[in-house]
Amino acid sequence: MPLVAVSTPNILPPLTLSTFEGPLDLLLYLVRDHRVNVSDIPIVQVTEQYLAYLRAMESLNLVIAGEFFVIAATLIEIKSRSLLPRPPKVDLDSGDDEIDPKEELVQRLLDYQRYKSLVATLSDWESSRRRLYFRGQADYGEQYELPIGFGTLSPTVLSNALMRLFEEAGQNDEQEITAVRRQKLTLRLSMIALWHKVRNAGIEGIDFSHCIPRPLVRLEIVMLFLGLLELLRQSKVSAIQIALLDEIRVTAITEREVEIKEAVPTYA
Amino acid sequence: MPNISVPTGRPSDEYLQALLEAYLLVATEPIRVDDVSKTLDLPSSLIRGTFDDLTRLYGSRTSSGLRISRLAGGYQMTTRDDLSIDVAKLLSLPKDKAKLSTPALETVAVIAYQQPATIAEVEAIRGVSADGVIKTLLDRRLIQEYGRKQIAGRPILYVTTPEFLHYFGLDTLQDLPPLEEIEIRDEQEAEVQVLVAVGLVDE
Repeated sequence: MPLVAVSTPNILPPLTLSTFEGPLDLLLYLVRDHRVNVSDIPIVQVTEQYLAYLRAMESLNLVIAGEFFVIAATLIEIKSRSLLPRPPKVDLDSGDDEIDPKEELVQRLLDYQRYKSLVATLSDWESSRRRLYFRGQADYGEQYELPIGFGTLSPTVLSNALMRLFEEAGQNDEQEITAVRRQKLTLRLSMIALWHKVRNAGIEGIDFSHCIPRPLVRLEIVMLFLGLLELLRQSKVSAIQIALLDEIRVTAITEREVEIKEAVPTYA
Repeated sequence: MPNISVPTGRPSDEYLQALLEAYLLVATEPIRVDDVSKTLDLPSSLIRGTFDDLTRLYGSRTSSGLRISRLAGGYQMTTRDDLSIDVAKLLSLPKDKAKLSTPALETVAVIAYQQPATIAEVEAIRGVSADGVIKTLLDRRLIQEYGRKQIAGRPILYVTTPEFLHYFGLDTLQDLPPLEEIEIRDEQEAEVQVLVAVGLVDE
């Protein structure tokens, strides 16, 4: 192999990082690009270009993954070997188990290219499968998940998932304290709430059970019932219960807006 | 139908075919031959044969919008592929949404061939960090954890899931072409170029 002066490459590949998935991608680009200006010692030029690219990345303060340097080191090793005169090939395959970095790199590049080719196939498959629809599709959307088969998951998987969730939740370890405020609940407020419901129901009246806010809270039911008794006592409403434990039908006696006040001490 | 009740013994071919068709309608996932075989206590070859008959029958109906596909190790009733655009209209599904990115496809391809594989093994082939992509694939249930490799650091091993097969319309992993046989698309000459470039082959 003749030795030639290495010319610095005048054209660098476009410096958009997204263009290259990684060092192998970059290397492939350079190798392919090389076809255009074939020169005497391709590996030397490829190495130079590769390093120039790294320097450009550095000058742009881009974070360069360590893997880029690993490839660079490999390239430099191959390059220096190619520049040294080769020993005459006499002692052929005599137990020399040294791995040729060149062969290794080529193998990696070829493997990588195979996977890249496969990506095109997978993408085709992805598209054609998406042309098929099946029952349950609307529920699943694109994120189709097959039901988990019976017995395929163990309790350990569940507890692991839980631990992971806890771990994620506890990431910003500010012990969060949730304050539960004491709710203001007085007989007067209960009476007012009930009165408004009953008055709005008009002449028809309303079932007492429909006046209780959901979700049911024991204290609220008790207070509302006390409110009902108090409204009855003050003759503001009438209440009819046809049978024991039946609905209590509450009807307003007066249509007018009345002042609601309690005549008994607050319960809450 | 004349012979609806089959108290004992083997059901008639007609009954079995009708039953499997009914199964295909009610199921929202691919039906596995082994499961049906166990449920009905019939040989799996009979079940498979009947499913294949049904598949052919549906395939021959030119005016039917339904087909039977082999997906993720089972049989599933699907719509005919050339109806996809109009079917999507009814389902109001966005088309071409959330397809996998190239890094995600590359990563899942490596895992499919190398499984069970660790992140480090994936990265060695792709030459870039794979952490983020692995998470995406896990979230989409295309891969799952498969224990840990018994080497220093005990790294997590990953394998592909039935969803992976379903997602790409495959029946089994055997549907993937052998890696050595994959032709390097558009880059046939690039291969030569690599060899030339690193001085393994003289031009």
